[in-house]
Amino acid sequence: MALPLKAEHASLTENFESTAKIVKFAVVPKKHEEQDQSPKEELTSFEEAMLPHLDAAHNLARWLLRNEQDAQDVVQEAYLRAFKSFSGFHGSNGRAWLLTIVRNTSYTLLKKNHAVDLTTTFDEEIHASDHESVSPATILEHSEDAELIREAMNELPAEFREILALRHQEGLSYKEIADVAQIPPGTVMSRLARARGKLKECLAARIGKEK
Amino acid sequence: MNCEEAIKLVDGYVDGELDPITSQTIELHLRECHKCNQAYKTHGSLIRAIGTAAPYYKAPAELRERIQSSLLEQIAEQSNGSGRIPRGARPLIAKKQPESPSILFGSSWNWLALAAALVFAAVIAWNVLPRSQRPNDQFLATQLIASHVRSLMANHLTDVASSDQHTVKPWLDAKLDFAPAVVDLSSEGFPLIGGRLDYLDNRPVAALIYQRRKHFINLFVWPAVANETRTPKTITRQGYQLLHWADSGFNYWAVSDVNENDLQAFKEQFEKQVPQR
Repeated sequence: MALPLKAEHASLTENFESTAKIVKFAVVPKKHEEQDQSPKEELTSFEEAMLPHLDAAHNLARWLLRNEQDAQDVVQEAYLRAFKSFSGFHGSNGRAWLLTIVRNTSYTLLKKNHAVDLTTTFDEEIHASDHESVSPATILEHSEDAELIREAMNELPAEFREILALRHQEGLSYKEIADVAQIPPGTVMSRLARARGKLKECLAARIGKEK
Repeated sequence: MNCEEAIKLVDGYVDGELDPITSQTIELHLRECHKCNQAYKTHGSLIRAIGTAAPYYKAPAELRERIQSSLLEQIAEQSNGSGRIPRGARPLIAKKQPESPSILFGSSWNWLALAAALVFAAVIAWNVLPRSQRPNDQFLATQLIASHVRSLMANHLTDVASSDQHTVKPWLDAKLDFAPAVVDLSSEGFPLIGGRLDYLDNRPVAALIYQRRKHFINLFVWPAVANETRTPKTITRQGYQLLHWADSGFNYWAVSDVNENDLQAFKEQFEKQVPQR
């Protein structure tokens, strides 16, 4: 019998703390007045700061995991993690901070499920043959087809899905993308360019097949 | 700037992420080079189209509730000195939590209050309630949720995996001293996954497993005691929904992480399909 996905999660034994790479946000020792904050008050300020970014968190996890149930589980897990380290968060960009945790939690699950397609070598040959006849104008004509874009985006490796969602849906700056995706700021533009290029190829291939 | 350099930078230019000087250089080039200008325009409109057409997955309302209740649970546990992840959170990546040695000892009650409550409960139980009264629902609810979570953790969702009620029912009948009703609700959106034996409320019980989309429903069944209450009740705990009803001499407890409406619909469909005796 095929086991449900949930059952697999239980056997994960890796400690998240040891793999999290939240390097961009230094943990500063608590100030005195914060130590006096009751857990209730801390929870209230956490929720005020972080719950507005729930849609962004869910959207990113959903694109990364391509599965609604996993996305919800990861987002819940990420919020619990975020709350635990919230006292050490003194930055101004709560959204980028939260998205970093969501991203790390997502990748940990992807790796555990051996679903990481980070290193997936994209089969350029197959796609190249399909889309040669499709002109940029034809792609543009189809570019409002949400289902087509969704399918094409889901075909891309995780690092491309992530960067497209962060840029086009969350409108993050290159600097913020570098923080969340944990890549040098200088490589954001080239990765984004490659992601868009691949997306175009996937779109062309799908349109080519339909014809 | 030549065409090759311009194409390399066109993404940054479209995104407005280039420094002013580089931006100007590109602008100059685009004005002079018709081919690059064309490419830039299609690229730009495609990029904008992606932004508007790619589906944005908003978080469902129940996710917010789930998160808020698990956060509350976390601070409740923190203030008692233990940093455990709440059970309801179904930790994905954290270390597997050891099972609490017992439901009573595992929770974080104040001992004095607990002792007082036990004495009080004992007095009430002795004087007021009939001897056959069942343990209270809260205790049972804890057991039910623990069973549900355990069934999803280990490779032990089903003992007999079959969507055929005529396979599951005889299997359970043979193992138990009662014959629970088993119906398949596939056409109602709750396909039967299988059956399992479990131990609850100090007796072996039948667990029927149904699926709702990607969620599982454990339906625990055992014979009801004669004077037991028949009013259906719902309990929400740790993000799980519990629904209880009694019918034709059986106790039913449905446990799942689906929402309350889905669980109610499940109960109604189940009752509709169960042969009346």
